[in-house]
Amino acid sequence: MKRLEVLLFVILGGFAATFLFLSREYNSTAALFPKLIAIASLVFLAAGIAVDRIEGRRGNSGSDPEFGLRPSILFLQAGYVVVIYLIGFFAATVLYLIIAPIQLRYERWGVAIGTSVVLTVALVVSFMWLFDIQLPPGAIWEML
Amino acid sequence: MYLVLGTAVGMVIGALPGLGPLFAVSLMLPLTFGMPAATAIIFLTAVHAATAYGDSFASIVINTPGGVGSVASCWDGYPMAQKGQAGVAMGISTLGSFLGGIIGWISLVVLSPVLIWFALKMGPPEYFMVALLALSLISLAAGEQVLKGLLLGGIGLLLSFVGRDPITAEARFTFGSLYLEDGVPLASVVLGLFALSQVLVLAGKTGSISQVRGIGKVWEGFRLALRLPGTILRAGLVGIGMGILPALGLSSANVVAYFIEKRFSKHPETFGTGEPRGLLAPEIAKNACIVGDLIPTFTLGIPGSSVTAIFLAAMVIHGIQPGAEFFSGSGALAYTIFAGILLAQFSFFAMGLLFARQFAKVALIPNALLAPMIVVLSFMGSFALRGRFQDVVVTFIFGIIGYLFVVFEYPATCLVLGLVLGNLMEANFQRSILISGGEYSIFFTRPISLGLFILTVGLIAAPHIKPRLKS
Repeated sequence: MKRLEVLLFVILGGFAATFLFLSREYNSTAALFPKLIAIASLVFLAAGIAVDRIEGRRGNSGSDPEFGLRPSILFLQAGYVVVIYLIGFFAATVLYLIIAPIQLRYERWGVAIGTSVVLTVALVVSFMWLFDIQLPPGAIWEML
Repeated sequence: MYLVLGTAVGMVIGALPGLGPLFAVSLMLPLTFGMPAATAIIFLTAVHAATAYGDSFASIVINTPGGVGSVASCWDGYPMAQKGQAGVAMGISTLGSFLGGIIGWISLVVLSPVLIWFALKMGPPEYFMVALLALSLISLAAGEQVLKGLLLGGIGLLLSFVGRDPITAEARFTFGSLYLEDGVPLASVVLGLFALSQVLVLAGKTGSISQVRGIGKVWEGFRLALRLPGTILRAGLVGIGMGILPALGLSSANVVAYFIEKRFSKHPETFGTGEPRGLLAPEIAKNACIVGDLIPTFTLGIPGSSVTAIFLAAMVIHGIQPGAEFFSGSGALAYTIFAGILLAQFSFFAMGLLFARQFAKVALIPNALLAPMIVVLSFMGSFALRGRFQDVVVTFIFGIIGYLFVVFEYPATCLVLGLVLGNLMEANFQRSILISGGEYSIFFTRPISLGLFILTVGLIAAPHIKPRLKS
């Protein structure tokens, strides 16, 4: 079985098991549906693993899935989220929209920079001025 | 003029991921204070309908649901864009939304009394059975991956239980977090599962979303849609049904219509690969639901959803009495509003004709440039709905999970189905048991509830029984 799929099974199974465990603390009305569904989910998970193993022994597991994701792309996205929190939406987005295309090997840097600035300004103007939505200002600016 | 303005505003807001009709209508409500009564309602209707239509733009071209009412539009709309048919998909969406709005309008004007009689017969047992019926579609959503689909459906249901118990109001699975007491935000989960996960897929590929150079013709989409009268009728009925029943709305209508259409298709295996029916059905159901939602609001004074609650507020502010007096006490105002609602459908249709092709060209932008933009729009949409930074984190986490689902071919749609229907199912089950004093027979002694149960069993059993009967 592929390692990442094992991780997915662990995440999903752990999730259902956690709900089943926590349901003990609630009254019977509040706990009824979560218990039922958690047990059913664990049954389906066990059945899915069993079928997967049987198919694997028969040689029917098929080819390994294509996992084309570079970890750096994920780290950049995570970094974007963190930087939004720290320095605010505007600055973080301008930086992200310049760095991300370059990381993805986009060669026209001028277009990337121009798009970054234009799109960020358009979004900030629409959301903050037109729709009156306050975008994250950044924890660092708030502290200063 | 206000009709055109409302349509333009609605389409722009709708095109932004995560922001749907609720956001648009609530934002526009203060602008109506200075308008005459009929104008205000017509303006809000135009915003409402155009936002629902605009929600599909992002769903089709970048696999990013514009709102919870456009989740199902991604499932066949985006594959069409990948095949170089984004323009065709936009044509199907435009005409489908228009036809859905017209079907909803007809039900509003002609069938209101009959539909309201039916809606008044629906109680908690019937609502529970409707949710069960919709959940039975999980097996269809899963395709060949039945066990994985059932597992994800269960996970989706568990996610829907996070927050407060609908009967006892006891906080459940919140881990002491105030944030989780409001439940897991559907829009953030959906943006992560479908939009962000697709970004991770796109980032690994060169080229553009459209794998061929071209987007197809919008008129071709119109022709395809008009050749599917059965789909139009079925989806319209689903939309109206979901609209007139309070608590069922956009988030359910598009998903249920999709799976019902798949169920009735002779080639269900084509759904998810760019099947026109798979896009047409949710588009029609969505806009039929939008107008159908107004029926209980106008005729009973009962808002069918959060959006129609805002409509109710607008009516009260402008001195329009909803309920039985809406027709008798408002004079010609009621019919002016109905005429305006009809014009609103034509308005967004006309604007859609002008701009649909331009939106479709997004599918030709290089992935390296487009993928980061989708990330930004997804995070912004997730944040903008409730103004909570934690929603952005939820989107990011579900983006990773969604990517794993894509790689290992887990049907993420099943998780969404569970998440959408879980609360409805549990709340109405518990209410039914309270009403009956603990007797489970309440679900089988009420005719509509029993009928829905038989229909559910029939829908599950039919694919297995039919081949045996034939042989």
